[in-house]
Amino acid sequence: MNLIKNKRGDKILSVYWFLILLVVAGGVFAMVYVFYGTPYDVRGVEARILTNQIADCISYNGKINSDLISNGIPTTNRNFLESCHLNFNSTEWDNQQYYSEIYIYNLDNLDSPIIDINKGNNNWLTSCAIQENKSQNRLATCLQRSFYSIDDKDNQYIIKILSVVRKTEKNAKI
Amino acid sequence: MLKYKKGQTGETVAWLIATLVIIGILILFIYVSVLMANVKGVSIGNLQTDLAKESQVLAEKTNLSNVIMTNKNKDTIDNILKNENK
Repeated sequence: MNLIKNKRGDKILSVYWFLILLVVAGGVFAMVYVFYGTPYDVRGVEARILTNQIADCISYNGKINSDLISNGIPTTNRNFLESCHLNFNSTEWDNQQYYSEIYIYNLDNLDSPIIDINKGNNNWLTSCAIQENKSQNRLATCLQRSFYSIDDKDNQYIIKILSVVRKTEKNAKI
Repeated sequence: MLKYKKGQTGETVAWLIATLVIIGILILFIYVSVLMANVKGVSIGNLQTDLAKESQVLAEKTNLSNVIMTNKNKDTIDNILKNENK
């Protein structure tokens, strides 16, 4: 009689061990799934590359591109994307995932820009205002940088570049 | 017989606590992996390519223009850029 009871206890313990094994395996699976299921967010890097590409196009060797400002006068040529070898359209996305703003200010007057260029999908601009204090993964990534340059007449300028990259679906878990 | 039952109860309680500890540790580990997944990202500083140098592109442009202009209005420009690039 005692032997039968002992055997029943062994069976219960085996089932218990099996359940624990399942729980632990499920936990390990959940950890791996959560960690590797979250994509790497490269939008910050992408925004910086875009900013640098635009900056290279605006100013080279310390001087502003003469297609933008010539003899101290802003030119009317605004075919900006093509001249910078930038293409914001992609077959992967239905709508443009990038937006860029460039403001060029004379050093004497930082209130109104002498040149302002906006390219791309300006719907993503609202993300920048929302994230002023804290960044949020599900919104577009914004990067604003400024630098200084001069033109061929040695006039001094401050250039502000705002780069916005969305691509949320590929860079953040939704 | 009574002693034997007491022993059994003690063992059952031990297994119960062990189960709770195992589940607790698992939940903790899952929580940590969620936190780690949220901060998973690529920053310029972590890249082992020339891109790391790219972060200095704008600063180099500013410096080059300053050199050409023999640092004319440098303090004003530095202040403006410091505020803008916060």
